[in-house]
Amino acid sequence: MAYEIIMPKAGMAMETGTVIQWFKQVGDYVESGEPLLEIETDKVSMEVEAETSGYVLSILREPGEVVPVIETIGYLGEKGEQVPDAPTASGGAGTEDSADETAAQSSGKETPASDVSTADFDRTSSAETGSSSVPVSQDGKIAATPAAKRLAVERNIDLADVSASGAHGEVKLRDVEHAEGSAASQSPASPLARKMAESEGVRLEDVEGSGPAGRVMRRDVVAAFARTREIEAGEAGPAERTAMSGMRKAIRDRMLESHLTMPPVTLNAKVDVTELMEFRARLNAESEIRFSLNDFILKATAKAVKEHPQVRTAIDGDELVTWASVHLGMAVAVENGLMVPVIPDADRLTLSELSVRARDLADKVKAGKISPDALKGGTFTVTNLGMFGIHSFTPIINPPQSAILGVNTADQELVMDDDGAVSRRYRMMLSLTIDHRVIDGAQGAQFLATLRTLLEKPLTIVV
Amino acid sequence: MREITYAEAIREAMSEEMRRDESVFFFGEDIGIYGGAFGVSVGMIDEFGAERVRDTPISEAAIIGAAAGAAVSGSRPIAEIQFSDFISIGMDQLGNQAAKMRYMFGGHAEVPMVVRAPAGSGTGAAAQHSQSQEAWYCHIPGLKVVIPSTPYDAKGLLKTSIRDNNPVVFLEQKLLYRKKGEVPEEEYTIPLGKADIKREGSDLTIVTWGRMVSMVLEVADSLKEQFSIEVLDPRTLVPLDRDAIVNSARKTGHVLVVHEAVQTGGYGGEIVATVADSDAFYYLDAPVKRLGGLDIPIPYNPELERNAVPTPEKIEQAIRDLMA
Amino acid sequence: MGELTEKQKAQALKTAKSLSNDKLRDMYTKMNHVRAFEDKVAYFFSRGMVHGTTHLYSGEEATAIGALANLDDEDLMTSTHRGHGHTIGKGIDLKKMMAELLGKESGYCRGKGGSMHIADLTRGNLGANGIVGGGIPIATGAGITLKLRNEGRVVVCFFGDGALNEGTFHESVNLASIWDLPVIYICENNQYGMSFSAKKSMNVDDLSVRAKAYGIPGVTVDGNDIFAVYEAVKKAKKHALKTGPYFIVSETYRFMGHSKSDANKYRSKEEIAEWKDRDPIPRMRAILVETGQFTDSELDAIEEQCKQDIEEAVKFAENSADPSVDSILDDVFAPSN
Repeated sequence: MAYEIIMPKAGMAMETGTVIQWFKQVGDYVESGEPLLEIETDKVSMEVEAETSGYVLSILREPGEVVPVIETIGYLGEKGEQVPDAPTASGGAGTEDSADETAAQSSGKETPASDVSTADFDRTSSAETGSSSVPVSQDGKIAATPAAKRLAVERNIDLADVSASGAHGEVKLRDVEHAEGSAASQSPASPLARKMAESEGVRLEDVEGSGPAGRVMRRDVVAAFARTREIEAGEAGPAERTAMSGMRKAIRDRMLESHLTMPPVTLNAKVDVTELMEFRARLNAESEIRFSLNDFILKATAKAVKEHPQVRTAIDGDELVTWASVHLGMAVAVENGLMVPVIPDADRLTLSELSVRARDLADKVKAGKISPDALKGGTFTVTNLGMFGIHSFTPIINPPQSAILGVNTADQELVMDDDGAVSRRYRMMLSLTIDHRVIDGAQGAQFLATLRTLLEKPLTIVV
Repeated sequence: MREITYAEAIREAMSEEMRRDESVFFFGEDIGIYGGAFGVSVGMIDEFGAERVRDTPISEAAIIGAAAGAAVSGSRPIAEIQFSDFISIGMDQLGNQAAKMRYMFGGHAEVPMVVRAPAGSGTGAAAQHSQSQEAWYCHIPGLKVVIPSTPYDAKGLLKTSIRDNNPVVFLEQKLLYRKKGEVPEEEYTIPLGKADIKREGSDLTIVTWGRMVSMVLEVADSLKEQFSIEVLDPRTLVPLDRDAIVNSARKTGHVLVVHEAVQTGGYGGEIVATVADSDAFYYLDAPVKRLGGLDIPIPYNPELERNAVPTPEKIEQAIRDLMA
Repeated sequence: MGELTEKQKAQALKTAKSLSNDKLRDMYTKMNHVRAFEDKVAYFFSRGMVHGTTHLYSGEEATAIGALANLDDEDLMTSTHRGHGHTIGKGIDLKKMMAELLGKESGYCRGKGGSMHIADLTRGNLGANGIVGGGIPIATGAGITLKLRNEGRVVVCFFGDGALNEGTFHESVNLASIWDLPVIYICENNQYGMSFSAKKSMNVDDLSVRAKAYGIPGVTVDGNDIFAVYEAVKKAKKHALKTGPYFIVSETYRFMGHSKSDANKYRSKEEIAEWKDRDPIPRMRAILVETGQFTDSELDAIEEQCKQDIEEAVKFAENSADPSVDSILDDVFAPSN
């Protein structure tokens, strides 16, 4: 039997991967465990090792092709062995989304890569607006009779909006019949998608839904909105067009999502880092590790985030979710984009540990060797543009988080103290963007005050 | 219209067909002078003589096999098996011989025979004389299976069965033999494979056959203030009027199957699958339910016997559960 | 051993002389058709050219051909799983028969029956049967039809020694007896029900005594003497038409195994050789030559012709199409008005 080479699912949310290069050609022998090809997910590039030894019988996807996860991209086997006619999506692990993706792919349609939090937010949309009596099973499905489901589709009713009267908590036909807006001839869309379309002026009728039964999901509105922007840009005259990388698409979608869903407020506070810089110099003179200013900022931020649960609180439907852990995201610029590796439990690490960890992650990101799972689970993000001489900016929150700290350059300034004496100090602006739905201005200010205290009294950072 | 009993309707059907067609003859145990264990054939021997109304020894394999041999050689035999439970003694002749002849001979044979046999519980006859084994026969390609629930259906379906060019297992209901119903004097037949809506309704379809039909109708009437119940009697299980079942299921969106036969492996499963397998599925507003006999041999004690099969109380409960 | 007894031989010569040359030619031809057919089938099976299994009649030809020489097309017959001899004896198109064995659309059963289910209702052949004793009630029921119609026709019912211990035999012969049905029950005692010998499976030496239990006549004949079988069935037919059923036990032997998967462990080589000495075909041939009705060369020509006929049947079968899968649902039920 020929052995299928598949596009591996290299991370929970990975839906597609791009073939970068094949290390072996048809006819070549490959040992089990030997690198077979390189792929790129929306975040990283990685080598795929052969799962079994054998000859490469066929290569179905060429470099540059975007392939849904677990789809067959080639075959290994005995020399001269027959290869099945058509690539088959291997069963089992395929999700509904990836099945859709497969269909879209095979019809030649470009499908926008979905981001990490899609699944979470779809569930949110149901819970947000649905009746509390609707039974939602663990996998988020709604129990409804076939007749109820059929009518719901016919009338473009979201079953999540219908209260269930069945004896076992299921939505019955009568429930759909009596549901509000049941007769309306609306396009099927999730409530969140509908809301977003209204606010951004996207016509729902023009959006092709990727949800069940063609239901327009939030991600579809985001993509449609992005397309209109692209087209407008295209009217500016001659331009060069290049295909977006997976990472760029992810950034596009995520930034837009953040922009469209979160009302942001950016608070700027100036911090005196003179003592911190001196402290750093002393420490570096005595330590094997060379600490960067950023290490101290990360450490101080982790402490402040720990102290202020509000900045690690997100919205999930009608509920607020406060993450227990301080998993610190750290924005790292790379050649063709931006990545945010995460330092788990940053508040529990010593300065040294944190420093080593941060450097290691940054190196991996820059080398393109970061694992997709290392890019997930952050509860607060720090982004630093200080090395570019930026004095202040408005960072964009990395959903589903609710706050992001922008770190700027430390400038020399003349500062007058309370006694009127003037001295030379190093001062740095901190730019905190908060999701104003969750975090009030005062709360953001209190967080910044804590952070400033820490940074201005560097010993408190390390104790 | 005149009313006659189920047994009389069957006798009329046989007699009319024997008058109509010389090749029809009737044989079985104690059917002559005795008139059959349930008196179905009383007087027939007087009209048709001992050649065409033949008393047989107690030889079920020979009776069923001889029916097949007589049929394939040009006669139209009606074989009576005294209790349907005894068909198992002649099962090879029914299932391996009669049912398969036409197919295995490449279409070069016709086997026009009827095996009539009383089925069902309720007479205190216990485990070996009370069964409802229709699912056994339905599972053999080449057999048609008929279960009439009224005198009218019994007569019309038996006449058609006798005229049919295939082996037909005609399962009569012991407890219905003495029940009267309207049967016209004029000649009529009822096609095989055509269900009958015994009661129209819009909320719930109950598919049921044989003795259960009248029981279900009574329950449906008693609940008429609460539910509009449609009662569908397929009358022939093979061929099955799947369209009628699917149409009714689509209309009501709720389906209950009630039969006396043991539920596990019973033909109710086939009815349920017919609905689940059709576009009626999309109209279902509740799971499709079965109410069959318990998975036990029929017990002797009257109260145990009554509870071995669906009762009006169990039927009502099943309806209420389904419509909750 | 092998030779007919003096008395048997005298009777055989007498019977042969009473028959026309055409009749004898037909009987000898059918004997050789059966043998050649079975040889060819054995060849096919051993080479995997047909699937399933088959039960060969070689060695038993005199029973079928001798018995059925008494019948017309209008008379009826039921056969067994070892039915090729009966089928040829009742009269058949060899081409359609071979085609059926090869599972072809042009076969008797359009490829749906195979070796064990060949039937030809146009010639009164109600079919071979895969169930031991399965045909006995059917023959009996056909007897009812003939009795009711009273057209001077009979049914010959073949079955083996194994079927004597099936309930259907008892039930059916009793039924035929009480109703005086025109059925001739012929038990081909080929000495083994698969591997179990008749001597071990029944505690009577002469199986024909069973007839007494039903109040009907029963005789035993040398089943490898076609003239003895012919005479017995001739007498039985008269009795069947006038009085009722008749029971004949024909002592014979199958040369080949029970089926193609039989290793023949339950029989000795000596026993097989003894019976091959009594091969019914050379025996018949000797009589035909002795009465002077046929010369050796005439009989050689018949034998040669038979082999050719089988070759032609093979050619026909091999050139026939397989049934279309579209036909798979056909003929489960007969159309009814």
